[in-house]
Amino acid sequence: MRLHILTPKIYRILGLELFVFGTFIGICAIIDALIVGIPVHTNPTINFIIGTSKVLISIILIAIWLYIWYYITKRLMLSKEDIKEIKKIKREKKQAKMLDKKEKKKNIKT
Amino acid sequence: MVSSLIVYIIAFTVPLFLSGIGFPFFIKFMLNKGIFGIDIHKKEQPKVAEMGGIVIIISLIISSVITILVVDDSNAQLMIGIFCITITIAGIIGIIDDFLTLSAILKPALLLIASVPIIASTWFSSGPLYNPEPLFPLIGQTRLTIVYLILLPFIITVPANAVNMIDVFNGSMAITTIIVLIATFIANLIIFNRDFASLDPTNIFVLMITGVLIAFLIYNRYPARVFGGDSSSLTIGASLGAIAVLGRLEIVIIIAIIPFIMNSFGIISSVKGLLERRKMARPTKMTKDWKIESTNDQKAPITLVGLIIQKGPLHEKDIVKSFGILTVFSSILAIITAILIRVVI
Repeated sequence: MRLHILTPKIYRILGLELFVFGTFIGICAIIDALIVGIPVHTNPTINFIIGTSKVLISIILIAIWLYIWYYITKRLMLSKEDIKEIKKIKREKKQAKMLDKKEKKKNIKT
Repeated sequence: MVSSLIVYIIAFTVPLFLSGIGFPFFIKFMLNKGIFGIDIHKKEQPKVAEMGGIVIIISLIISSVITILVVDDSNAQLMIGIFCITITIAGIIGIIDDFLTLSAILKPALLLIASVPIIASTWFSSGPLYNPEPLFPLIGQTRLTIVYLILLPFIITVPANAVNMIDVFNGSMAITTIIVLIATFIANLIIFNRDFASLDPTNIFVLMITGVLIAFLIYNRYPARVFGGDSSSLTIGASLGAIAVLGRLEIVIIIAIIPFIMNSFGIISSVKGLLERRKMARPTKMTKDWKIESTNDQKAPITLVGLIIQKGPLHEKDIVKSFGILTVFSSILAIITAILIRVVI
């Protein structure tokens, strides 16, 4: 195995794997500390609401984790030139919008 | 009564043996019938038999039947049967895709059907074969009931498509999946503290798929003599999903297949949704010395391969090794996950 040649080429992906794993464990720790610990209520209606809220909050946290994972993967897979180009396009769009707004304001005044 | 260890040996050796002897005949047959693909990553552009997944599916069906016959536990028999039906449905969808090329949306939608046998298992036994209480690290058992039922079809479809998307080089799918299965096997032993004396259907599933994949790898490794096609990758991917559900190893398998999911994320994000592989622009091309380099085509999907060859072209074998390293790393993380689950249950 030519590990010494291959590993430098994939260290960024290995780092991302570790990040994804670390954040997931972090989320599990948050859920365990803040959500699982909420005591069971004697009133069944309140208990149902609490239970549903627990599941919803946990799902939202997992969804955020998945989105972060997706976003970083997407960014990592773009080259520096691609990122520059995306920024350039965004900047141009912003400028075009600003110009549009200014023109509209001018038109209203006149 | 057959001891558990013998059942495990049968579960591993039967598919290994069946595929091992089945592939040479299949390759000959397919080449004679003119059903082959061209391996574009080789200078010689060899003809390679296609649809090797058919041998995988047949081997797994026969192995499942034999295992059901030797197992003495009705619940285990039912689980093996349901597992076999699930992966067969995925395999049939794969075969249809190999022949007709299904659209990128229809394929995952059809794969949702593969989860029906698992959901329907409730009607054949005293309770559902799946447990809607997945195990999370540091948290332990969680009760998701309805949410789990909604997510269940995706637990089958997502790995099936992820494995399908990683099957792009000689041996890439087989090597990475075998690594994932080894990690799953270890994680199952850690979490449920089982020994080989007791019969565990999850071990049977893992051993069956590993056996068939080892035989497939012999013929699919560089230079490949057979391509698995979508029939193989969807069968194997669905089997990972089924193992996750039936073995309560959902989180462990998600962590183990991080590189697969990353690859899918890249493709989906770059082509802005689901698109059939054959309709996408090629992300790679060959150099003069037959290494693989990026095409730098803006319309091409961004894949894990693209990320690996970002710093320069690599030989096909080296890319597959890189896949292997990434999967070994994620599998280690999956085993750590299993330990973190074990400490709280």
